[in-house]
Amino acid sequence: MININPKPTRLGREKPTVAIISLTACNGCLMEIINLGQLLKGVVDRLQITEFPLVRSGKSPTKFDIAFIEGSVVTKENLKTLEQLRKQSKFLIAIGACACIGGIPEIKNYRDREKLIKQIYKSTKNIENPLIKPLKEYVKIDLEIPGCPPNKKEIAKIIASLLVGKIPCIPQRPVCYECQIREYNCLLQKGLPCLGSITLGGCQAVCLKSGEICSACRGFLSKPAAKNLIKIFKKQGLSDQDLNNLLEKFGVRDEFEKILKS
Amino acid sequence: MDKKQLQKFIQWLQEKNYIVIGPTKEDGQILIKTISESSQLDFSGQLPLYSFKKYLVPSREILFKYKKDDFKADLTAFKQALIGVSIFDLKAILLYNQVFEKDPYYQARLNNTLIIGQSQIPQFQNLSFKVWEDKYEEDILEHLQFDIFLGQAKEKKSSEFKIFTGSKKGQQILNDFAKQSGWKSDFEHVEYAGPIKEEGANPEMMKIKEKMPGSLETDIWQNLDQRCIECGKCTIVCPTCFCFSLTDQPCLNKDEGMRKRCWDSCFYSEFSEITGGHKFLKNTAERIYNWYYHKFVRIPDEYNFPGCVGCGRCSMVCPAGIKIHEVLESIKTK
Repeated sequence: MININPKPTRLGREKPTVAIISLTACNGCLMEIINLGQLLKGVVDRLQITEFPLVRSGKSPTKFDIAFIEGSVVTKENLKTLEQLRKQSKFLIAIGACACIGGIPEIKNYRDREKLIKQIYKSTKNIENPLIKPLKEYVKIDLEIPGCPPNKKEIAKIIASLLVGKIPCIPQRPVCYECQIREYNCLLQKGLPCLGSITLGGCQAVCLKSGEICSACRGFLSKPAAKNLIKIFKKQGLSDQDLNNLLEKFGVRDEFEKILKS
Repeated sequence: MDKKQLQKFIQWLQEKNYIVIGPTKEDGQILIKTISESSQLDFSGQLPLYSFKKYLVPSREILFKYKKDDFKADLTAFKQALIGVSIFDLKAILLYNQVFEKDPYYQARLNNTLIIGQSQIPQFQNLSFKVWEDKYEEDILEHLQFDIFLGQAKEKKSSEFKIFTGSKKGQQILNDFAKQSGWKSDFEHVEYAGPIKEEGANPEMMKIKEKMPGSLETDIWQNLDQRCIECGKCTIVCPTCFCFSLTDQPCLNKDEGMRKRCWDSCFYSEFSEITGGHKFLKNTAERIYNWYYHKFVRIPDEYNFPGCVGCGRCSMVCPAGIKIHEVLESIKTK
């Protein structure tokens, strides 16, 4: 008889303490946690959420078994928060496209960001304007939950796995897998520059469901066949400029270029 | 059986709690879906892009749930009638029947499934209607597993189906229907004679099988290595691709969880990965070679029939434009 009794979590106590924190972000990822619906009850029952500024003010300086962090490091304050949270947490999870791959804020890395900032702020005196990097470039990240926004069911599954002491992993399957199983139309075959075949799936192909191409908000597979995809794009007449614009949307142009060089 | 009687038959199946599933036209595409009446059925002979695979081998299923030490395997399957199953898809069912012979989940589903094949007669052999009357049964139907088969003469497309049965279950159903509906029971029984024709294994298959091994270094695979984007779409639409992965997923409820089985694809990097990180299929060339090797060498070795039904769906969905018949041609002539 196999003993399948889940072991007490290796991450600490029976009811792990959890922090859910934002850096500079739109809060969309944390909204997905709040919007878990019926699953939220399970999350709240099993976790001791001690710090979640979005829903409850006040800090409780403590150690955390698990910490979720969304957003980008834009200010020195952000960096301090991130470094402190790393020290406080046993298991640090970057959640969302910004935290995992740079996301939308990374667009400015590919533009003249000094010029951009002047267009946006009247006075740029106290505005920090760093290059945007994924959080793993600053501190050790134990797990990434990608996506813009991340998938709710995936968040719940990952929490459930952590609770039995299992390190969750997201299967290395492209968005095409989920798109084709759901019998959505293949936009790449229609001549559109869809990045689904090289992008990590798990989003249930929501964009394809609405007839939108995949823009790689979940980042790339570990070893994608990007060189061959480029050949298809070129055949379809996609210009370098249009490809760059597409890749910059979620800040994956640098990763893409790295893959092409490898 | 004419169209009116077919409609009656479908209604009768629904009254017997069968969910009736068949090809239907939607936005210019043929999709296989639950239908409510026979007029929705599309018997034009146009191949639906997605096969009947998912109704017998679902893309994801829960094998069992656990709660503490208590396991519950769910082997209940609803009654379904698959109607309008093409010869291609029937050939794929032959393979599932072999591969999942000892799989209780598949068997439960199969036991609750009524398989109703359908084909326009000249579609597959270019036989005239008259020739078909003598040869159709022994050349094709005898080597397929189905319950009922609707033979449709191209010339008489609009009106008549010639009805065959291929199982006791099919005979029983038709007899019951005749009794209860007043349909003049008119069908011919075809006894299943195994998947292979009397002349022996398909010579075309043997030829490819002979040429395949050891060809990994040839230009064929190196060329495909430079084209394939590993999207895996071909494996999803392929009616014979049955590979799956198993995942244990704990639930948020304490001490509860489940084991799931879902389709997988040999084009994905983790497919051949084992503990410690070793991968048996290291690059695109090895992956695509493995796909062909499985269909054209390993399955023929195991079952003596090809692992490809020849439907061409993989070519239709390939964004890189890889055509299976061209690849096979270059294997044969290498």
